[in-house]
Amino acid sequence: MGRLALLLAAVGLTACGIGDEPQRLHTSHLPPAPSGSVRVEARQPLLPTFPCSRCHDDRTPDPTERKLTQFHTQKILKHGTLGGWCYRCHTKDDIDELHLSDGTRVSFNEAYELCGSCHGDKFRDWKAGIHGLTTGFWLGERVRRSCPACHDPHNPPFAPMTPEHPPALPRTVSSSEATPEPEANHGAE
Amino acid sequence: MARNEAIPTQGERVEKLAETRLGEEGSRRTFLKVLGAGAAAVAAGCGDTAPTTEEFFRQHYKKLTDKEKQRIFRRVEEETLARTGVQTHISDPPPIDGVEFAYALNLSVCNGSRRCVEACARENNLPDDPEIRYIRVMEMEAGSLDFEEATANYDHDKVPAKDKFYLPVQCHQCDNPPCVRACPVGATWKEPDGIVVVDYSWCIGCRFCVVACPYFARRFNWTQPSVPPERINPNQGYLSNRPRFKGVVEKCTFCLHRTRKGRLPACLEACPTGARKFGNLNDPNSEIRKIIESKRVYVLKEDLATLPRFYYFFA
Repeated sequence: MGRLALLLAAVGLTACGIGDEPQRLHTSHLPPAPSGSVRVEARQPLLPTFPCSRCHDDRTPDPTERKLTQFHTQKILKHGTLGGWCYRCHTKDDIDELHLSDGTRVSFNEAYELCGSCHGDKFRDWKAGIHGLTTGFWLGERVRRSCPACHDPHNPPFAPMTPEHPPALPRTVSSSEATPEPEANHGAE
Repeated sequence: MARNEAIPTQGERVEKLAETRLGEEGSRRTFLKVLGAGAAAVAAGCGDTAPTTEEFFRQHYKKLTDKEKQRIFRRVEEETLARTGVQTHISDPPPIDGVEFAYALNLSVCNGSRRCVEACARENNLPDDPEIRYIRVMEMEAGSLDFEEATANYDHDKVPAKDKFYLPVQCHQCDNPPCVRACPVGATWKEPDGIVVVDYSWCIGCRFCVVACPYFARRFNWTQPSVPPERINPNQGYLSNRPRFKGVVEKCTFCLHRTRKGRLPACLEACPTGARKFGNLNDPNSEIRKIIESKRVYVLKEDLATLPRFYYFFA
């Protein structure tokens, strides 16, 4: 009986709150704290084979589409209807740089400019900090990942991942009980 | 907030505690006996690792002076060192003037990997046995938003699973928090920066708040939580990830020991897809403001008027 009374008291306490007019906190008159600066993570130091010219300087560019058998065999171009093979984005005359469709050179560190030239909506969100991963400080320097940090430019969809383990079930619940109807046991108490 | 200002005295708290532990009818008669016997009689219901007598009979957090707080922090550090051999550092960063925190989560890109769940567990010293996790990731049918049919227990080899989408739920730090109203002893309250905190040493374990929360965001320590020494995060906040004990309630605090020092929460930094966004609602240039101004955001169970600070959006 004591427990039931306590439960009723809890329900009563909660119910008391419903009649009141809910109110937001009123601190908006205070001066806003600045949110700090943003640094885009540089890509070049993270590329294991950069600078590309180390190898490519000794080779003649071959713009024909073909299956690569000697180097870059893992790089399979599956990027929408993007045609034009490597030199659609990489620069034939300077393999250490990329270029936009109008010929403007961009470095690997500014690869987001190249991605953004087609994906304008996502680029806009990314610049505003809405799309993409940001780490560090909300009050202080934020580090924003460039597009290729998460999306392989040659095959951009985010790769499926192995999830962390599911939550442990309470000791009194067997896994067969838990999956279809976790609510089914409520009457038992 | 008026309810918060009237903090019960230690005597009133112990009376409630006796009610909770011994049952209401027994409490009136045993109350004096319990009080007379000190913490021991009540603590017997808490198990072997109940708070020390000094911790048990201390003032409410809000009535503590800075000097008393420092003494308590050092004592908790020493206790942790003696118990686990890990030197921790307990701080208590105050709310920052002009800052109101809010969180936003992009459901278009969340892939249900549960990286946030585990990063949160490591950051906040959550035990694995019994397992306590602040974040639950709900899996739903694509195109639906039906919590009746959702499950948090999905176990796939790879996520996202076909035709599913994922919605992580954690404490929404409501501006009209039902859990705070439900607490009979004022052990949980809302801070000026929007975070709802728990004073673990004042909590009597009645679990009214657990029932009152419509988001199932609060967790109760049914047994003594233990974290392996190598997994203890030494950077601890007194109102967030310091050691908890059997018989108290805990919950997500937006990692206040990080965020009140300017850092981003652990779950956000762990998210592989960048679905999580956090910031100061009062700053017109913050990411969170841009999301709320330019995207269609929504909150869970808006009809309950809990006014959550946790927004969901698609982008």
